[in-house]
Amino acid sequence: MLDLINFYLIPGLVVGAIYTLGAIGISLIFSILRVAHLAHGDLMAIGAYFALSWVHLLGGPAYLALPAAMALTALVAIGVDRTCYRPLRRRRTVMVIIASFGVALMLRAALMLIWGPDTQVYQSGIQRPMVVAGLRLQEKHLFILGAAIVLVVLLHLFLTRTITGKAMRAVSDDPDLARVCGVRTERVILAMWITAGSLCAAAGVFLGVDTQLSPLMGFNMLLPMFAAAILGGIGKPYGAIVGGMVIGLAEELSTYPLFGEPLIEPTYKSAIAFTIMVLMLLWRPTGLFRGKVL
Amino acid sequence: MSLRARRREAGDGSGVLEARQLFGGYGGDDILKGVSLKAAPDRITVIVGPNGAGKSTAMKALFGFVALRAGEIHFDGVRIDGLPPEDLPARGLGYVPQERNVFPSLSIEENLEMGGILRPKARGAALERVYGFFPVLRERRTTPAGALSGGQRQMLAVGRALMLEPRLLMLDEPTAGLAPKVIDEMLDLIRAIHKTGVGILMVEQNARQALEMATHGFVLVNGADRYSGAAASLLGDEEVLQAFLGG
Repeated sequence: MLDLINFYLIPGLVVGAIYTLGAIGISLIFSILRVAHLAHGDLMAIGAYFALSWVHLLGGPAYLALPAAMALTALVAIGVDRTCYRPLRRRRTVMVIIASFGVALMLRAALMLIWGPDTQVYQSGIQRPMVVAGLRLQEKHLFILGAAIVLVVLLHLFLTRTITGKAMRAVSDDPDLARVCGVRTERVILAMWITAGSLCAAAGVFLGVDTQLSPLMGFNMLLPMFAAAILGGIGKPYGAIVGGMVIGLAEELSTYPLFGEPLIEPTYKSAIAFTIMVLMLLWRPTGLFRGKVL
Repeated sequence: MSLRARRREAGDGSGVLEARQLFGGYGGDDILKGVSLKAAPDRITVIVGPNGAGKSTAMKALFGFVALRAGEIHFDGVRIDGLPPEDLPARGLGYVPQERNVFPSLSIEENLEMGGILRPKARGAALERVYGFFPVLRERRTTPAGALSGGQRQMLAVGRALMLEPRLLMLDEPTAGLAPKVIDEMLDLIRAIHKTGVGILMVEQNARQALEMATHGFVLVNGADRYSGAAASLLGDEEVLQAFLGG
């Protein structure tokens, strides 16, 4: 039982939290621009590497780099939007989707140029877990889960208590009616990129803290993050939280040796997200929380 | 600078909306074929006419949602054709579209807050004013707008547009789909809103009922204003009665 918690449930929650933070951004972007943002994974990797530079320059744990990495990634997201997406705003959305694929390749190439193609870590060496009543608690896992909860609560307060957050939900409901109210759509889009960009940077840093950094780390997250967004109902940021957690837990628990052997070979773990996504699209394309159809 | 001051600076303060010879549509053939309209704060102006005459399109065009091929729109002494819709509320023009006129996932109060988004400081007072007109909205302030009945939804849509205290309020079929009793209630409320000094420009399906409460009217036929004038004279015009108001 403790094994189940220590080696499957806790890692599942951690991975789920990372997926969640990425999927929220994907859902937000879709809800406002009606676009599947294919560069989201690579944007996430950029965020992780910003934190790496902070650690290299200033030392200290990667946690301290989180605010700066989030801010810088938000700036990158805004810059990408201004140069690559905004000129296409009035065109068909499929053009922006293709553009985001191009942006994904460019971000990845830039990342390799700046930080190199090799795998890196924030901190080398092994950290011993604390053992409390048989529970193996790793500092990094506590940090990731705690910070993810704080970020999700902040997002909730932003969307429900601030006028900018409400305007974001209004534009997602009906962009034309928002304009009738005098809402400047471009300002809402700016706030959206700040939100989505900083959350996905946090996801990137958490992934780096949990495992390691590599130029493909973001791209590899793209499928599970989209699966999470679709499972929750794309365009529904709150659905993304459930979607991310379900995908994360399903992936980890699927390898639990319930009958002596892992239920599914760990090598096939990444197929779980894909399977859930396909089943969801077939069975209920609006997702659990009745989002838009991708 | 307050919104009102900015409004005064930009316009002549008359609050008159005037469209001259509008031509345009949604990219294909013109739907508007020479529409001219006028509305003012001291008037209730109704646009009536058969289905497909371009009434809704004319409203959308006035609010900047239709690309015009020709024609001019002036509001408050300022030329507004070519301005994006989001520039108009601050100038004192309010608009309630016919369909999709509330944010379904936002609560009643959040919908009203969106209506008042340009005036953050006056939002509290504006909310009280709107709740004064529509007390039922206050009772259900936390209900998502998508869960409202047709009549309440329409009230919310009108309330939302009142949040910025417009000089002129454009209403596209505010009684569409409502029960007869609710229609009377809605029209009474519109009259009450007008009494506070807000001009009304309204598209209506119930032509006779609308002209009876209006001061001025336009009969739109095939994308152009066929008849116009004082509401009473339109109601007394045999030809208009015969052709468009069902005798």
